Amino acid sequence: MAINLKKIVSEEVSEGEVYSFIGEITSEKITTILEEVERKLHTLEAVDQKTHKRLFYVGVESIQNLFHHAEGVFCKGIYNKRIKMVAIKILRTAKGFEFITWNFVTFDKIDKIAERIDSINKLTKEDLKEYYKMVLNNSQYSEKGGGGLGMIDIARKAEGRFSYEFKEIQKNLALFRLKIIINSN
Amino acid sequence: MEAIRIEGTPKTPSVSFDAYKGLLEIKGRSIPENSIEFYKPLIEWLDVYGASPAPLTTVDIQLEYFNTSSSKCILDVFKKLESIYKNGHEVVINWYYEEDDEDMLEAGEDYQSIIKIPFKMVELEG
Repeated sequence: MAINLKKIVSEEVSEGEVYSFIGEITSEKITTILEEVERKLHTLEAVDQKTHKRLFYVGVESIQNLFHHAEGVFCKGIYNKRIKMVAIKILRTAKGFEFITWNFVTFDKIDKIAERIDSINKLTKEDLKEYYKMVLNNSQYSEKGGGGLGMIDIARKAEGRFSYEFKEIQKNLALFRLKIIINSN
Repeated sequence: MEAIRIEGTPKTPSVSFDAYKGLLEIKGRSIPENSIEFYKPLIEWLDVYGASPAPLTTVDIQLEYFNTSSSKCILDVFKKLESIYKNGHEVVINWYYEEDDEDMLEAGEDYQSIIKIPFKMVELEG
Protein backbone atom coordinates (compact mmCIF):
# COMPACT_ATOMS: atom_id res chain seq x y z
CA MET A 1 0.00 0.00 0.00
CA ALA A 2 1.45 3.35 -0.98
CA ILE A 3 1.54 5.87 1.86
CA ASN A 4 0.51 9.36 0.92
CA LEU A 5 2.06 11.50 3.64
CA LYS A 6 1.09 14.68 1.82
CA LYS A 7 -2.59 13.66 1.86
CA ILE A 8 -2.48 12.70 5.55
CA VAL A 9 -0.84 15.97 6.57
CA SER A 10 -3.03 18.13 4.34
CA GLU A 11 -6.10 16.78 6.18
CA GLU A 12 -4.81 18.52 9.32
CA VAL A 13 -6.03 21.91 10.40
CA SER A 14 -3.59 24.44 9.01
CA GLU A 15 -5.04 27.69 10.27
CA GLY A 16 -2.25 30.10 11.13
CA GLU A 17 0.30 28.12 9.13
CA VAL A 18 3.70 29.76 9.22
CA TYR A 19 5.73 27.00 7.63
CA SER A 20 5.30 23.51 6.26
CA PHE A 21 7.54 20.86 4.77
CA ILE A 22 6.74 17.40 3.45
CA GLY A 23 9.47 15.27 1.95
CA GLU A 24 12.69 13.42 2.46
CA ILE A 25 14.92 14.62 5.26
CA THR A 26 18.67 14.74 4.72
CA SER A 27 21.52 16.63 6.38
CA GLU A 28 21.55 19.19 3.55
CA LYS A 29 17.77 19.52 3.73
CA ILE A 30 17.97 20.30 7.47
CA THR A 31 20.15 23.32 6.68
CA THR A 32 17.68 24.55 4.05
CA ILE A 33 14.66 23.99 6.30
CA LEU A 34 16.26 25.85 9.21
CA GLU A 35 17.17 28.76 6.95
CA GLU A 36 13.59 28.90 5.65
CA VAL A 37 12.12 28.67 9.16
CA GLU A 38 14.38 31.45 10.36
CA ARG A 39 13.47 33.63 7.39
CA LYS A 40 9.75 33.06 8.04
CA LEU A 41 10.13 33.86 11.73
CA HIS A 42 11.78 37.17 10.88
CA THR A 43 8.77 38.18 8.79
CA LEU A 44 6.29 37.57 11.61
CA GLU A 45 5.01 40.55 13.50
CA ALA A 46 4.84 40.82 17.27
CA VAL A 47 7.08 37.87 18.09
CA ASP A 48 9.45 38.68 20.93
CA GLN A 49 13.10 37.69 20.69
CA LYS A 50 12.76 35.01 23.37
CA THR A 51 9.92 33.21 21.56
CA HIS A 52 11.77 33.56 18.27
CA LYS A 53 14.89 31.94 19.71
CA ARG A 54 12.92 29.20 21.43
CA LEU A 55 11.09 28.35 18.22
CA PHE A 56 14.41 28.02 16.45
CA TYR A 57 15.83 25.83 19.23
CA VAL A 58 12.76 23.57 19.11
CA GLY A 59 13.10 23.50 15.33
CA VAL A 60 16.75 22.43 15.44
CA GLU A 61 16.19 19.65 17.97
CA SER A 62 12.98 18.26 16.53
CA ILE A 63 14.18 18.30 12.91
CA GLN A 64 17.45 16.63 13.90
CA ASN A 65 15.42 14.07 15.90
CA LEU A 66 13.51 13.31 12.70
CA PHE A 67 16.78 12.90 10.82
CA HIS A 68 18.26 10.53 13.41
CA HIS A 69 15.20 8.51 14.40
CA ALA A 70 12.65 8.46 11.57
CA GLU A 71 12.10 5.07 9.98
CA GLY A 72 12.99 4.56 6.33
CA VAL A 73 10.35 3.88 3.72
CA PHE A 74 9.45 1.21 1.22
CA CYS A 75 10.12 2.46 -2.26
CA LYS A 76 8.61 0.29 -5.00
CA GLY A 77 8.39 -2.58 -2.52
CA ILE A 78 12.02 -2.29 -1.37
CA TYR A 79 12.83 -1.02 2.10
CA ASN A 80 15.38 1.78 2.15
CA LYS A 81 16.42 2.84 5.64
CA ARG A 82 18.15 5.95 4.34
CA ILE A 83 15.07 7.47 2.73
CA LYS A 84 13.21 9.12 5.57
CA MET A 85 9.97 10.81 4.67
CA VAL A 86 8.79 13.36 7.22
CA ALA A 87 6.49 16.34 7.57
CA ILE A 88 6.84 19.53 9.60
CA LYS A 89 4.32 22.25 10.26
CA ILE A 90 4.54 25.42 12.33
CA LEU A 91 1.23 27.04 13.24
CA ARG A 92 0.65 30.35 14.95
CA THR A 93 -2.11 30.19 17.54
CA ALA A 94 -3.71 32.65 19.94
CA LYS A 95 -1.35 31.53 22.71
CA GLY A 96 1.83 31.17 20.71
CA PHE A 97 2.98 28.48 18.32
CA GLU A 98 2.53 24.80 17.61
CA PHE A 99 5.41 22.86 16.13
CA ILE A 100 4.12 19.60 14.65
CA THR A 101 6.20 16.80 13.14
CA TRP A 102 5.29 13.50 11.49
CA ASN A 103 7.53 10.53 10.88
CA PHE A 104 7.23 6.79 10.49
CA VAL A 105 8.12 4.35 13.25
CA THR A 106 7.99 0.59 13.50
CA PHE A 107 5.58 -0.90 16.06
CA ASP A 108 8.34 -2.07 18.40
CA LYS A 109 9.37 1.57 19.04
CA ILE A 110 5.90 2.85 19.96
CA ASP A 111 5.83 1.90 23.67
CA LYS A 112 9.32 3.27 24.28
CA ILE A 113 8.55 6.61 22.60
CA ALA A 114 5.21 6.95 24.42
CA GLU A 115 6.78 6.16 27.81
CA ARG A 116 9.55 8.69 27.19
CA ILE A 117 7.12 11.49 26.30
CA ASP A 118 4.72 10.64 29.14
CA SER A 119 7.54 10.71 31.67
CA ILE A 120 8.85 14.08 30.40
CA ASN A 121 5.31 15.53 30.37
CA LYS A 122 5.02 14.83 34.10
CA LEU A 123 8.11 16.83 35.04
CA THR A 124 8.02 20.35 36.43
CA LYS A 125 10.32 23.11 35.18
CA GLU A 126 12.71 22.47 38.09
CA ASP A 127 12.61 18.67 37.53
CA LEU A 128 13.48 19.21 33.86
CA LYS A 129 16.45 21.39 34.78
CA GLU A 130 17.85 18.76 37.17
CA TYR A 131 17.12 15.91 34.75
CA TYR A 132 18.85 17.84 31.93
CA LYS A 133 21.96 18.41 34.05
CA MET A 134 22.06 14.77 35.10
CA VAL A 135 21.88 13.47 31.50
CA LEU A 136 24.29 16.20 30.30
CA ASN A 137 26.88 14.96 32.77
CA ASN A 138 26.45 11.20 32.22
CA SER A 139 29.20 11.04 29.53
CA GLN A 140 27.08 8.75 27.35
CA TYR A 141 26.53 9.14 23.63
CA SER A 142 24.18 7.04 21.57
CA GLU A 143 25.46 5.25 18.49
CA LYS A 144 23.74 7.98 16.45
CA GLY A 145 25.77 10.64 18.27
CA GLY A 146 22.88 11.91 20.36
CA GLY A 147 23.11 12.47 24.03
CA GLY A 148 19.53 11.69 25.11
CA LEU A 149 18.93 15.38 25.79
CA GLY A 150 16.82 16.41 22.78
CA MET A 151 13.33 15.86 24.18
CA ILE A 152 14.31 17.20 27.61
CA ASP A 153 15.67 20.38 26.08
CA ILE A 154 12.61 20.84 23.86
CA ALA A 155 10.41 20.49 26.95
CA ARG A 156 12.52 23.08 28.80
CA LYS A 157 12.39 25.55 25.93
CA ALA A 158 8.75 25.01 25.02
CA GLU A 159 7.41 25.18 28.58
CA GLY A 160 4.34 23.41 27.21
CA ARG A 161 3.35 19.79 27.11
CA PHE A 162 3.91 17.39 24.24
CA SER A 163 0.93 15.70 22.68
CA TYR A 164 1.29 12.77 20.35
CA GLU A 165 -0.46 10.01 18.48
CA PHE A 166 0.44 6.92 16.52
CA LYS A 167 -1.62 6.01 13.50
CA GLU A 168 -1.31 2.53 12.06
CA ILE A 169 -0.44 2.85 8.39
CA GLN A 170 0.40 -0.67 7.37
CA LYS A 171 1.74 -3.86 8.89
CA ASN A 172 4.42 -2.91 11.43
CA LEU A 173 4.52 0.76 10.40
CA ALA A 174 2.87 3.67 12.19
CA LEU A 175 2.84 7.39 11.57
CA PHE A 176 4.03 9.24 14.67
CA ARG A 177 2.65 12.74 15.10
CA LEU A 178 4.24 14.96 17.74
CA LYS A 179 2.89 18.35 18.71
CA ILE A 180 5.00 20.78 20.71
CA ILE A 181 3.30 23.84 22.12
CA ILE A 182 5.41 26.97 22.51
CA ASN A 183 3.70 29.67 24.52
CA SER A 184 4.52 33.29 23.74
CA ASN A 185 5.23 35.62 26.62
CA MET B 1 52.08 23.67 19.31
CA GLU B 2 50.03 24.42 16.24
CA ALA B 3 46.99 26.63 16.70
CA ILE B 4 43.50 25.58 15.60
CA ARG B 5 41.62 28.03 13.40
CA ILE B 6 38.27 27.01 11.96
CA GLU B 7 35.92 29.32 10.07
CA GLY B 8 32.29 29.30 11.19
CA THR B 9 29.49 27.88 9.02
CA PRO B 10 25.68 28.10 9.40
CA LYS B 11 25.89 24.92 11.52
CA THR B 12 29.31 25.01 13.14
CA PRO B 13 31.10 27.66 15.22
CA SER B 14 34.32 29.48 14.47
CA VAL B 15 37.14 28.13 16.60
CA SER B 16 40.44 29.67 17.54
CA PHE B 17 42.71 27.77 19.95
CA ASP B 18 46.08 29.47 20.48
CA ALA B 19 48.40 27.57 22.81
CA TYR B 20 51.06 30.31 22.92
CA LYS B 21 48.59 32.98 24.10
CA GLY B 22 46.50 30.50 26.12
CA LEU B 23 43.43 31.90 24.37
CA LEU B 24 40.63 29.56 23.31
CA GLU B 25 37.56 30.89 21.50
CA ILE B 26 34.39 29.19 20.27
CA LYS B 27 31.87 31.54 18.64
CA GLY B 28 28.69 31.38 16.58
CA ARG B 29 26.32 28.47 16.06
CA SER B 30 26.93 24.89 17.03
CA ILE B 31 24.08 22.85 15.58
CA PRO B 32 25.68 20.09 13.47
CA GLU B 33 24.00 16.67 13.17
CA ASN B 34 27.25 15.02 14.16
CA SER B 35 28.83 17.11 16.90
CA ILE B 36 31.28 14.43 18.00
CA GLU B 37 33.01 14.59 14.62
CA PHE B 38 33.37 18.37 14.90
CA TYR B 39 34.58 18.48 18.52
CA LYS B 40 36.93 15.46 18.42
CA PRO B 41 39.96 17.41 17.10
CA LEU B 42 39.37 20.11 19.72
CA ILE B 43 39.35 17.54 22.53
CA GLU B 44 42.51 15.93 21.14
CA TRP B 45 44.20 19.35 20.91
CA LEU B 46 43.32 19.99 24.57
CA ASP B 47 44.86 16.65 25.57
CA VAL B 48 48.20 17.78 24.10
CA TYR B 49 47.83 21.38 25.35
CA GLY B 50 47.11 20.12 28.89
CA ALA B 51 50.62 18.65 29.16
CA SER B 52 52.22 22.14 29.09
CA PRO B 53 49.54 24.83 29.12
CA ALA B 54 50.05 28.61 29.20
CA PRO B 55 50.24 30.12 32.75
CA LEU B 56 46.72 31.45 32.19
CA THR B 57 44.19 29.85 29.84
CA THR B 58 41.32 32.16 28.90
CA VAL B 59 38.31 30.52 27.27
CA ASP B 60 35.74 32.67 25.50
CA ILE B 61 32.47 30.92 24.62
CA GLN B 62 30.09 33.10 22.66
CA LEU B 63 27.37 30.97 21.16
CA GLU B 64 24.18 32.13 19.52
CA TYR B 65 22.64 28.64 19.42
CA PHE B 66 23.83 25.16 20.27
CA ASN B 67 22.04 21.87 19.94
CA THR B 68 21.93 19.17 22.60
CA SER B 69 24.43 16.98 20.79
CA SER B 70 26.91 19.91 20.98
CA SER B 71 26.08 20.50 24.63
CA LYS B 72 27.71 17.21 25.68
CA CYS B 73 30.76 17.92 23.51
CA ILE B 74 31.10 21.39 25.05
CA LEU B 75 31.00 19.74 28.47
CA ASP B 76 33.79 17.40 27.32
CA VAL B 77 35.84 20.51 26.39
CA PHE B 78 35.17 21.96 29.85
CA LYS B 79 36.16 18.69 31.54
CA LYS B 80 39.54 18.80 29.77
CA LEU B 81 39.96 22.39 31.00
CA GLU B 82 38.92 21.33 34.49
CA SER B 83 41.69 18.80 34.60
CA ILE B 84 44.22 21.49 33.52
CA TYR B 85 42.87 23.69 36.34
CA LYS B 86 43.08 20.86 38.86
CA ASN B 87 46.74 20.38 37.91
CA GLY B 88 47.44 23.85 39.29
CA HIS B 89 47.18 26.01 36.17
CA GLU B 90 45.03 29.09 35.94
CA VAL B 91 41.93 28.72 33.75
CA VAL B 92 39.03 31.09 33.36
CA ILE B 93 35.91 30.56 31.25
CA ASN B 94 33.99 33.59 29.97
CA TRP B 95 30.46 32.59 28.97
CA TYR B 96 28.97 35.33 26.81
CA TYR B 97 25.23 35.75 26.36
CA GLU B 98 23.13 38.40 24.72
CA GLU B 99 21.16 40.79 26.85
CA ASP B 100 17.75 39.21 27.69
CA ASP B 101 18.81 35.76 26.42
CA GLU B 102 17.94 34.03 29.67
CA ASP B 103 18.11 30.57 28.05
CA MET B 104 21.78 31.09 27.13
CA LEU B 105 22.48 32.48 30.61
CA GLU B 106 20.79 29.42 32.14
CA ALA B 107 22.80 27.10 29.87
CA GLY B 108 25.98 28.73 31.18
CA GLU B 109 24.78 28.33 34.75
CA ASP B 110 24.09 24.63 34.11
CA TYR B 111 27.75 24.18 33.10
CA GLN B 112 28.92 26.35 35.99
CA SER B 113 27.19 24.04 38.44
CA ILE B 114 28.91 20.95 36.95
CA ILE B 115 32.42 22.24 36.22
CA LYS B 116 34.66 23.43 39.01
CA ILE B 117 36.58 26.21 37.20
CA PRO B 118 36.23 30.01 37.57
CA PHE B 119 33.27 30.74 35.30
CA LYS B 120 32.27 34.29 34.41
CA MET B 121 28.91 35.19 32.92
CA VAL B 122 29.37 38.13 30.56
CA GLU B 123 26.30 39.92 29.26
CA LEU B 124 26.58 41.42 25.79
CA GLU B 125 24.57 44.57 25.31
CA GLY B 126 22.23 44.50 22.33
